[in-house]
Amino acid sequence: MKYNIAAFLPEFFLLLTVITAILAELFRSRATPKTFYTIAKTGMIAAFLASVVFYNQTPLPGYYENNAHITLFKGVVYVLSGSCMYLSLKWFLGLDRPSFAFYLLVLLSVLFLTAALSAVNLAVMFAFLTAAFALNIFFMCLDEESFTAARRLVGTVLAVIVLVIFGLTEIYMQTGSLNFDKVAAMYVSSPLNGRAYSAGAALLAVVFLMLGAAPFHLWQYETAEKGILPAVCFINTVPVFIYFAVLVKLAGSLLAPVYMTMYPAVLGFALLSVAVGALSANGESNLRRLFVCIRVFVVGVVLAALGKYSLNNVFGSFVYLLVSLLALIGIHTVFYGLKSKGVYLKQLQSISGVAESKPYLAAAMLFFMVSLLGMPPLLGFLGILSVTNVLVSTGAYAVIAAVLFGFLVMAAAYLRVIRVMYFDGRSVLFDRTDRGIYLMLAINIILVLILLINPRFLLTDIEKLLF
Amino acid sequence: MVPYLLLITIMPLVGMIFVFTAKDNEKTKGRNVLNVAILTVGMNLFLIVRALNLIKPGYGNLQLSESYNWINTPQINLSFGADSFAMLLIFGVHLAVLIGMWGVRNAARGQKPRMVFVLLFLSMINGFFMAADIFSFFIFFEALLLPLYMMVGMFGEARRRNNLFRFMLYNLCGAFLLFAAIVVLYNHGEKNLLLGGIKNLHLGSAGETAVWTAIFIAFMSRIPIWPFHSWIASVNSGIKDPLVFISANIMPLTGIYGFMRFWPKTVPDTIVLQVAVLEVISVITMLFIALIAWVNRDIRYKIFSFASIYYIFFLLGVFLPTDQILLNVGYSLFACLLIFASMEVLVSYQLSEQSSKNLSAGGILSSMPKMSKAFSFMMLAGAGFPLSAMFINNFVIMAGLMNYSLVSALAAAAALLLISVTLLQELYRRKDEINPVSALSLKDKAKDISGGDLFFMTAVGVILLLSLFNPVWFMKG
Amino acid sequence: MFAWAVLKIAGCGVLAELFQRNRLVRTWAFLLFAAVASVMVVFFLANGMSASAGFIYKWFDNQAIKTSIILGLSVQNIPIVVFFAAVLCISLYYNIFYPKELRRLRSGGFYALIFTAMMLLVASTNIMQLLVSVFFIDLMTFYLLWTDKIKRKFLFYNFISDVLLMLLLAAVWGIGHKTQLNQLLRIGANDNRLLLGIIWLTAVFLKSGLFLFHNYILDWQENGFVRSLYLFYGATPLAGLIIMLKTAAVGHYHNFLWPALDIFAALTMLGSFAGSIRADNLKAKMLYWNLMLLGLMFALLSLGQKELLRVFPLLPLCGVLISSVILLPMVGAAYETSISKMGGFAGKMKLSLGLTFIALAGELHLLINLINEKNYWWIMGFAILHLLSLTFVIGRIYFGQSGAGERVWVELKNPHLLYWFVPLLLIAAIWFAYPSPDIKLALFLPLCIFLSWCFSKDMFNRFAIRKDASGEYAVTLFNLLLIEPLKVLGRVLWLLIDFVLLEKVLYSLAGKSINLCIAISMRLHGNTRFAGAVFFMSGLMALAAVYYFK
Repeated sequence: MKYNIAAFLPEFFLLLTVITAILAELFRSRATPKTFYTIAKTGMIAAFLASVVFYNQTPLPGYYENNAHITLFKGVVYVLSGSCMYLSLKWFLGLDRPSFAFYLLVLLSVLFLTAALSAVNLAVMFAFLTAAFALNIFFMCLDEESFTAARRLVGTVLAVIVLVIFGLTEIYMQTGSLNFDKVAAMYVSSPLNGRAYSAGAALLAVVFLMLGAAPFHLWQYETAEKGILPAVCFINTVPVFIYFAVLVKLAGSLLAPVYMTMYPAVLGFALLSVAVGALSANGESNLRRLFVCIRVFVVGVVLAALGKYSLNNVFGSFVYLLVSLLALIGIHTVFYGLKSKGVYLKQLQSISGVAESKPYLAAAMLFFMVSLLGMPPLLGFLGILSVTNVLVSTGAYAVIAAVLFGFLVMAAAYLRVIRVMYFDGRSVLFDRTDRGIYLMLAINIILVLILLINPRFLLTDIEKLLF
Repeated sequence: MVPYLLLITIMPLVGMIFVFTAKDNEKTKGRNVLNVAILTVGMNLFLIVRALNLIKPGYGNLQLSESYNWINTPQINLSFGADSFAMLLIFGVHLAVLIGMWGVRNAARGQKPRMVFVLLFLSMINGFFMAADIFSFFIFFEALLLPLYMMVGMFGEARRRNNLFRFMLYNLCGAFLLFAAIVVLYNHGEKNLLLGGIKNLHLGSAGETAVWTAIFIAFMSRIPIWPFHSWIASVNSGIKDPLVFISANIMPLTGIYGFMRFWPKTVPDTIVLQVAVLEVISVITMLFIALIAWVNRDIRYKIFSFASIYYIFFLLGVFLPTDQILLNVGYSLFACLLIFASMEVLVSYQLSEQSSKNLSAGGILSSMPKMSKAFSFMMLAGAGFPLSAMFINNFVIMAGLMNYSLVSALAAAAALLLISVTLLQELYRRKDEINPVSALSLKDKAKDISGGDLFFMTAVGVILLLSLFNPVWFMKG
Repeated sequence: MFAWAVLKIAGCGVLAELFQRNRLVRTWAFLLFAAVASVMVVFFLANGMSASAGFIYKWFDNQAIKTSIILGLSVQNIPIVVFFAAVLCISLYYNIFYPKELRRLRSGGFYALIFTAMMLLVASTNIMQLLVSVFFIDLMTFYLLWTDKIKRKFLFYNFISDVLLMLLLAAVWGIGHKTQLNQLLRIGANDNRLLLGIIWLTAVFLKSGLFLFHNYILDWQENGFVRSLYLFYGATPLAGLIIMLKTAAVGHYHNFLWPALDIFAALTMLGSFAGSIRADNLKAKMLYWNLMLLGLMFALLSLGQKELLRVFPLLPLCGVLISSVILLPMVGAAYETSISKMGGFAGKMKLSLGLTFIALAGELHLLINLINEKNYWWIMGFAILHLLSLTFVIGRIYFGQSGAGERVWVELKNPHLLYWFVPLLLIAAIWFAYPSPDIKLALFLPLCIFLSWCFSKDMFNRFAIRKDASGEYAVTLFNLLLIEPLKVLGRVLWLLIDFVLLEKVLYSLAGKSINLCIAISMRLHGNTRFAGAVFFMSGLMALAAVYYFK
């Protein structure tokens, strides 16, 4: 029992960190952004280490478990959150704004998301997931400008809650339990009736919404446009992993029959995401919204690769997601460097000619965008290769054609950004970029290069972990 | 065993990093950067000649093979191998780039990004020519696009950026098609499929048609054949920087090379019609480009046309149902690369003199004797005179073509004749000594090239002349 | 030995090009002449009229093609070599003192280099060597031409000729894969023999400037006399003849070919005759006479290679002889070239007139000695036409009514002794070759004088026009039948396919469709609240619909 409780350490550390942060906010008079960053960082590191040590220890069987697969996702989340927090520090310091609320929200998000991943009970899982999603409202309240986005997000969250409640209720009424085994058994053994289907569909729809797949994607736009940069960076990157893991869990085992039944709709969502993402990216002039479109596109490709669900499909889509998110994080890191007269730049035209005065930033942006495009020899090529290979091996040639066409349309958007950065004349004077940004970019690029030169780490070792 | 092929691919990348981090300010004016770049290319040339001497002459038998395990799932090894054809092309490309670097050594601005992207381009194209398996082939095939886009975008004409955009998009389209085809081939064949193994694969009829059509379009998109010719032409003729112009005009080589490596000698029945259509389109495009070049006043367009027409001509040679003349195609390509690179550098100099001193092109060479000698040699060599390996090797290719299809051969000959006449027209228009109008306008005469420039061009001329007598004079035995 | 001699001459040419001088130009020109002449004299003294060993360079040896460059002298080539050597020496000789030549060393150098290339052509036994030498002849000749206009036309004709030749030889080689010229007959009956034959004829006609293709040669009247002379007898026109000689086997590809050659040869002679009568410029007339002679030589070739070879070197040297004697009144009249501004020169230029008639008699004597059963009508026809034309001109110059200006009359005199040397030498050569006295000679001289006197009358003036014959037939034909349609086709293709079909229809449609989709997408993403709800509900409905339809 003692041993099993110890497996709760990651969550415990995170909770402890939250409390520490609250206490620091309440009682420490000279609490700076760095204070909260330090607290959050310490907690995150501790949680990460604890999750690695107890990677396969199940603290509460039946409700809460750990295994290699879950630990992998958690580890990625901790690392990504850590880097988001570091970058956010620069933002808060630069603008001299209080950071307590932000770090608190990040910690809570990470706690809820990791908890959702470990949950073995549908109610627990969705409770945490919904809570994590609902925190987005508070992320939007960090700045006055984003209050409208917060208000709109309330509607989305309410819709999520309604769907979750509906789904869970229906399933509970059918099985009498919300444990994974019982739910899975129900769906496998009995023929799929309308109620069971609608319950499962509702839950899956929630996950699609959280992922940001079309047609449930609209909540992201205003969020990205109006929210503060640290919040946008976090929301657009970190939770996606968890949502993907949850989707894999639901589609692969729990709600497999539902997923298989709704596969045509899922494929439709995937292709719609690809189309919407690619087309909208070409029309956007706001950088944040543009990269949200890219994220929608990425999610679309992931769903398309997931296909009718097999281990190979999961592997392929995971690889693509990972490399894309690495690149997106890199791009958001670059956003931190694009500042003029103390204002972080959002419009595409405002970064015209950035290559002239900030060659390294521009080069990094180019690096990541080319990776997102799937152009070899960068890491993104592995992603697109995994996806295409999986689709070809399953004979989904029409899907490949649609996805590749989407890449082509998306390429136009990337080329547009490159053109503005490199070929157009400079329109504003850029502020000095913090060295920490360069450091983060360097780490990201080195990581990408290591994975590129030795992709066995990415592909083989993770494949072993997953399978 | 020294991994020559890997070194040849990586050397420009290393050079690129040094260039990127080299000091470049008002004081140095790009000299540091240029020196590093030239040194990199020079060192690579040394490796290339060394590798050439280790390879037995011939086409098709890839030697100096190297294989590096890259991914286990899916299993992909990066394999390199080269025959004398590939090495000759690499050698030619390097020399052409070196000529281009010589041409931009006095460039006022942008030396660093120019050299960074040129070296990246060079590295990718080396890898492309030495790729021995389908994935390596594709990786380098697509990776070429980015440095080219950056170079043309930064140093090309601003108002043609829409065309550059479209140019990139359809190249990417071609690349994606090739990618899809390669993944399909990979899934149907053995793991780590080498280029030579493609012909042994058996796909269904529909699969064969789809795969080969995709490969067709992918390679065609690189070559200025209808319907891809107009944007390539527009983009190329807007590039004023000689090094970038040369790099952009090396790009079609990748399409031709792709056809050479992929194209089976026994063409599947499903695509026989496509081959015939391609040949017709090729020939018509040759004539079309030649005609436009003839009436066009822009000399850069003429040089671009010269390169394009010859590329298509070589492509027709590739499609002949024999492997015997492929080495001759290689010899001709080598000479062609050097010739058009030299032409471009010399013309750039003339155009800059014209614009700075407000001179017309007519008679400009009359006050530039050194330039006149160098320019005449290159234009005559380009026109088909026996001054380079192009002469005899084009004869062999034309003979093969005539044997295969007389109409195509005659049309191709007409196009070659037209472009040659066009080049010669330009030459004597610029050499015209007696024209009284140009004599008057030469009060403020164009400044001739320096002795060093002439020496450099003479060295290029010597290489070309030596290639007339022995196309592989730099190889032992 | 032969190769060394040629290489030495080439070396002289290269040195002359590299080390151009502005001072003591005549001295340098003399030295060049002396060097070249001495090389030739030494060679002929050492070897005489015997074959000489060849220099062989193994040029290309790979899977596709094997070929060598061979520079040797065979017995049948000796007369041709002697002829070209003589022309070179004569041209270099004139180059020393002819005052209208401004760049003696440069032009002399090119004469030597063209000679070298010509020797390569004469010595060629394989396709590659033939092609290379032809290109080099063109290249060197191009640099000797004076103006842009002449260069352009030269380029047009000769480059096309070279390409056609290349095509022909490529086609033949592609069939048999033999590079030797004596293997040209090894093609099958179905191998487009007629087409190849037509290409062959066209290439040679363009190169040599036969009827319809002679305009680029006529432009040489703007060149100086020496250059014109050398260009005609040492460069492309005779190169065409040698090419045809070397590739005569192609004439057997089809029955039509030799008759076609005969027709063109005859038309060349007739056309040149008409041109020589009508042209006002003396240099143009010289060119027409040379063309007439060329026509004859082609006609002799159609009778067989031996028929042509036996007339070398004296028959073509006859052409040089006529040119050199017609030069005399031009030089004597202060370099006046228009016939209409000459006339009545007999009084002050008796010696020149006498030499002219002797030369004419010598030519006739030679022609009579060359007549045999096969070539009877050709030589007779040529003799008559040539005689009529020459005497017409001589009559106008020496006996006709004077149109000369004062300057001409003041300076009119027999030319310097140096101008006499060449005609005398050539006349002597003819007599040396055919020394037997001929009774018919006694009739020739009076006949010539009589004809000249007749033609000097005003009644024949109507045959002469003030301006040169235009006759840009070939160029006009090419433009009308080939170039303009191609240009129109190009423009139509560009307009219809590139502009209308591709740009305006396909690409524009694709672009607009995508832009429309983008616009719709942007619109939908604009009004987030309403759109969000609609999207959300539609998603749920899609999920429901899937179950329903399944």
